Amino acid sequence: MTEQSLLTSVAGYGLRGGGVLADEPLSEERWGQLLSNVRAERVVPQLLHAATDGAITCSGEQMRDLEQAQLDAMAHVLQLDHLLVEVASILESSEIRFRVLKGSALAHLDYSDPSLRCYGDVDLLIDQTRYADAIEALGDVGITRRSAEVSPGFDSRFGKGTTLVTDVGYEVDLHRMLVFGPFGVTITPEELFAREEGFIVGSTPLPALALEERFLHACVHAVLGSARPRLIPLRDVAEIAFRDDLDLALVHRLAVGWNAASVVAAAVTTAWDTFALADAIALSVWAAGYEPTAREARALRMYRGRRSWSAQAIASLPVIPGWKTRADYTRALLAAAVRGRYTRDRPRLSTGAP
Amino acid sequence: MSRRVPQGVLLLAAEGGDPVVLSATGEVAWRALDSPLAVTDLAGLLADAFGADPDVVGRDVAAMLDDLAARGLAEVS
Repeated sequence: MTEQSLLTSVAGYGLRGGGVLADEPLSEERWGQLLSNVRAERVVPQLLHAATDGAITCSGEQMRDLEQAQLDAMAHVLQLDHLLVEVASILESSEIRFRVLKGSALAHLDYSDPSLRCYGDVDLLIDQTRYADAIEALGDVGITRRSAEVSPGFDSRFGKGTTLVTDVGYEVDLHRMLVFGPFGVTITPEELFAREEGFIVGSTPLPALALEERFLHACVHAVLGSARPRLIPLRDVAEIAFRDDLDLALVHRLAVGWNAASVVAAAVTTAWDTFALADAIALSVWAAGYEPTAREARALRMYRGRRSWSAQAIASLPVIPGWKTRADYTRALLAAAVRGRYTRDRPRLSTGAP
Repeated sequence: MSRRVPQGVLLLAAEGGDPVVLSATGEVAWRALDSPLAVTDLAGLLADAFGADPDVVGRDVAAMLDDLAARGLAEVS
């Protein structure tokens, strides 16, 4: 088994059935590489699960390394949850609507145990009408922008989101929309705020997207969040897809309304292929048979391989409502290009940490 | 807030700070404290679970709860 296929098998471990991944301890070199890879892909809990089940045989020392890695990972997510509660309190006291996205929300709502999901930052969807207020309110307590705005007012009108950092380097991603580019414009934020599902961190209740919206966001993040789909977002897609209470009719209605049916199909088929999931469920059958239109295929290609932020930005133009807004958007992009800020902001806009 | 870890349960107080690991007996006690419980009941539960002397467990539980309370992880009233 190659390093990549072992990593992929670890990332998908426990989704359906078990299976043996390694029946004798790996060499020190391979073990070191595997541990480094699972840390980078944030699938330490899945490796621990496989090792505890005996699906991967570890020496005593390797098991101790792994247990320490899990302890480190969980200490980190607890610090992030603590930050999340603090940020939520600030937003609530400013009466700014938000939804918790990705890591913490998925860990608490979609995994059988929150200890099975690692994450690296705090992600929040912010009410677009109060976006600038949210940045200001958090700035007042020392949680500040990591990089300059592309042009004054750009974030509140056109940006996907902004990364803020605390004094000790933890990141808070404030999302104005779920994804940059053409798909971002067709997913209407008001619909994302129409419903919610709550979860509790410590003793603090927090709002997340409702289940079907959360699933669609997992698909969007898995397929459009990075040039090559990352393992943990794909696992998120599979975890939610296997839930018995996922309302497929609602998923379909939302996906069609957001012009994102091709994204859902791509996310599900990629998850099924990546983790070699044998189970055919209604969603995977539908996804396997989905034929994207030429326009959908073009839009999907824009997010893959050597992604161009400017190409995504320009592709958004036809779907931005109103000629004046389109003109303002173009002017802001040109001004940013002239000032050379594309380059600095591109990593933020074109990659999505899980 | 807490997470399950191989060493037991990892806890972080609402006020923040460094996370604390509770292992073995501590983890069982933490799970039992999901809802308020009298100290004597908690000691009895742990003594039963681990087949230990209730008096000894009672003293250990009192010390553990004092420690958790000092770290902001539990309230003792």
